Amino acid sequence: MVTLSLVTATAPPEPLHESARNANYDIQVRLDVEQRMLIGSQTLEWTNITDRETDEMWFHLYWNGWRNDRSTWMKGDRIRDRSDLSGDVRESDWSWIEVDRIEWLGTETLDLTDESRFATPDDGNADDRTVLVVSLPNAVQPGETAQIRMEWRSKIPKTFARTGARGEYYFFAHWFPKLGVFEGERGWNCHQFHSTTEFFSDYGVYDVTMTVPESYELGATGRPLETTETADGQRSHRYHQADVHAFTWTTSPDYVVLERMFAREGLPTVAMRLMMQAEHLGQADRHFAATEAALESYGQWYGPYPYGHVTVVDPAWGSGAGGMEYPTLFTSGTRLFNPKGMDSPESVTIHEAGHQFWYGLVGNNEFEDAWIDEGFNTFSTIRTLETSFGPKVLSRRFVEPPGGGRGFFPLLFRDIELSRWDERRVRFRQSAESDIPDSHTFRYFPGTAGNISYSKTALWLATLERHLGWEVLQPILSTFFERYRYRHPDAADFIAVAEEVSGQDLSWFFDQVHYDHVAFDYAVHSISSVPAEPTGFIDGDPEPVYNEPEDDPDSGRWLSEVIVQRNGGGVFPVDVLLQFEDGEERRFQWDGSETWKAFTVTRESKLRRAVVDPDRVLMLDVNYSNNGRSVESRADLPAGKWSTRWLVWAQDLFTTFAYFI
Amino acid sequence: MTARSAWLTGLRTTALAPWLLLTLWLAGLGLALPAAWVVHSTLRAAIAHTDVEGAMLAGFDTIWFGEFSAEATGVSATFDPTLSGAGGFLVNLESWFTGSLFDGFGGLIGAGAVFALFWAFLLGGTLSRVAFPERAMSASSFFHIGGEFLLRFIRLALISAIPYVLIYRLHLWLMERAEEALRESTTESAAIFYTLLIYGLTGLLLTAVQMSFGYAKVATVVDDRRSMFLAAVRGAGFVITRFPKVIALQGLTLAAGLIALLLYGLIAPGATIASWSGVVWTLLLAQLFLLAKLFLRVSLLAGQAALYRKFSPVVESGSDLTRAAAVSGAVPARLPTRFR
Repeated sequence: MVTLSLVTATAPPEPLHESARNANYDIQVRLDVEQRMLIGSQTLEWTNITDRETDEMWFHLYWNGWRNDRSTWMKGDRIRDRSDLSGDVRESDWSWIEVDRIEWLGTETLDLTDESRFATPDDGNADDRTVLVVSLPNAVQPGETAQIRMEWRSKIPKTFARTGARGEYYFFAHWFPKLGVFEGERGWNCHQFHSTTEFFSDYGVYDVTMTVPESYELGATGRPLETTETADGQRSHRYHQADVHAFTWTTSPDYVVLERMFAREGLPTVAMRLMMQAEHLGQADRHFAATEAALESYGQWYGPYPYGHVTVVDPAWGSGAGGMEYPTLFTSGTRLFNPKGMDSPESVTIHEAGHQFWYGLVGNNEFEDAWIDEGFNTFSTIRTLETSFGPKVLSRRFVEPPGGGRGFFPLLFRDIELSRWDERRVRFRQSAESDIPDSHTFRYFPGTAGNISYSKTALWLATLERHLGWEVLQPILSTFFERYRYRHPDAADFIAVAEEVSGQDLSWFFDQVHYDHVAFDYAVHSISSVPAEPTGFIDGDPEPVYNEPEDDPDSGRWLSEVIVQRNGGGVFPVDVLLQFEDGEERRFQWDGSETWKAFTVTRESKLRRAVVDPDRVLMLDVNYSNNGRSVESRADLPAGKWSTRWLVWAQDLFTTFAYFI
Repeated sequence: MTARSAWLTGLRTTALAPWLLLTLWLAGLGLALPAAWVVHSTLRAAIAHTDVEGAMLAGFDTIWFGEFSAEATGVSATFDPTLSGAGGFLVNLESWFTGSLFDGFGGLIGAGAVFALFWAFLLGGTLSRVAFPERAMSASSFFHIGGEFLLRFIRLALISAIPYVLIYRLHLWLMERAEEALRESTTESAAIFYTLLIYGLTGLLLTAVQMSFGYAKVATVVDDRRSMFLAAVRGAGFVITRFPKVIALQGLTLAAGLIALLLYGLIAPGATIASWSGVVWTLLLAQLFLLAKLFLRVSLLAGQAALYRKFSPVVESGSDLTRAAAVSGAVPARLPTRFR
């Protein structure tokens, strides 16, 4: 480990709002690198903040999701056609978590170890052991606080869903028995571990002591309080953090740690700690810049980041970590060759840093409403990228790594810029009608959770921005953020804020984009421009006379007709723009409710082009290619341009085939 | 004769036979054109009258491409903007390394096979021309010789398929072993190292086989060999006995090819070309590069033939009276049976 620089952090500002702090943990854990085990004990102090009593406590045992291939996590993974179980899976790759002792710390200490059972509230899968229910000796009354002590052991997996070990790299998320959320009348909200969703917990104070080999660098949620050397060459790191809903940590001897301070006028300072892989040191500035961009943009748009510190983890290659959010700590992820223009590591860093706001501070139930944190954050990520970074360009990677995946060496096509919104639209289109976003996220049709949660939500937010204006959407989002910081909002909460702040009834919009799964697709069906004078017999005296107007664009008047069509079930008000050959334009507004509508104009110039939704307000339109139509086609040139390029490739391909003769 | 002089001889011989290059180039162009027309028609139909026309003219419309590629079938399904410029050549090169050439471009395998057959047909005349540059050769004798050697080269290709298949299996096997070796590795640079090592080995083996069978083809024509098994043995033997010269000649050609690719990559017009003159210029430039590649490939054959004639026992004995030579106007003669 090499520490390149050390910046002394200033004292963290006090949180703007304290959370309920009703789930507080004191945890001691030791990493056994020889056995790849975690051995831990914890004392949980939980306060019932609802108006109902409970005589149970429900815990997540996440790591049992990777206990065997019968778990609900693994089943979900298979249904999604994911690859976690493909290839070379060995005994050492699996994991488990065993709770050896459970104690009730009341007026007297009671052993509850035998008072526990596994529960499967989501699917009744008897093989799933990711939810543990502990029966309590006494009901916990509203306002009362209970204390539970647990001892447990976990076998560390080869990295599944970002968690686990690879070489001497360790990353631990969802690693301890973690309390679900008691919702009063609705009981315990403690879903099984699903491969598409992960977290929902109450806010609290975490005091965690982690013991690891002396030579290992360590990063964790919160701030380090003290470090203690032990006699057996180990080192204990004590971290503390209040007002968060999870605790994650990582350790490895290979991290290179860099520190820098984020300081912007009007925003609290933030000590940024970057734990890099040595081979990525050349990209350290890009990681810091992206983190700063997120802290600045999100801070200005929604509200300040209150914790005063953040740790950015560059995960080890092959760890399957990628980008992921945890309180005051997130993983980024990059490649050795990542030239600017590919949006990496910028995009993932901004996104995960942004999750500190949407997930960390606004703590929606990610099992049920992942679209809130993922969608709002994806929208904000793209906005930040567009604001702070240059365009993204087309690229292709060559030379696949062993085991598959994207190639090592990128070739950039710098003159082909990619629209980040269009990339989202391409993904969304695949799942436009597959499921209703209001369903619980883990119940979405297999393989569509990402497209719905990330892309669809980001696109309807972008649509709202264009429809209402940023000057309306921004206050909606900042009000929602302010009101639900350290709380657990759902769809109804957001819609209520949106309608309150905008002063509009937006039910027509949310009924379609959230409570239904209709697709939006407006198109120009046909376009024509003919001489205004009729062809055929016209009024004459004493009898009708035959008329045949000249088809001369420079003389006479033209009758132009455009038929626009609504192909999808979704309805949205759109503009229809008619452009004429003399440069004039006519714009019409259409409420978009009929299945088709004709627009007719008679004027002295021939129609050149018609386009529906010319300003691309409806970002959810699944097919933009049919939005515009021209009277004359100019397709020969672009088709020629691209087919000749294809021709050259095919010629070379043929000579490559001939290589074998 | 040094490798350099063999290389220069090859270049000179090829330069003196422009019609040969043109024939080979036209063959490829002639086969690719109908397929390109299909792609053109499909693209045209897909974008006609829509706003995509403008976007595709100014650059590329990636969202349209998402819609298009989801529906495209046949050769049009292979259309991809990253195939333009140097990208296309790198895609083919990577396919050559991994063997994915035969499963990655479904609609084009048939056309590729036809081209390969046509190439085999032209190879007899080509080799005869470059192996015996001192002899005049009419068009009819060129094709006559091609017919003479076609079946032999097909047999030779079937024999060469065995090592090629084995190499690609080895590549796959090594990649699996590398995956296993990298199981606990935490650095991408280690993965790159292993991968490049495997690619390097694969490339060397493929080149070795290509060289061996290249000299086998030369031997087939120069010695008028009928047994392709013995020709393969002869080719491999020649590569082994004259390894420094053979590998140097190959290296010079490869280096020239890489320089040409680099130059093309640097000057190839981008996607913003928006006029017919630009399209024509782009196409001409690409055709020049293809001709350069073809030139290098034929000159390699010519250089190999020059080396072979210089160092093979038949040539040393003064007997260049081969069947090929005979067909091209030389005095008919027979080779000792042991060389067939």
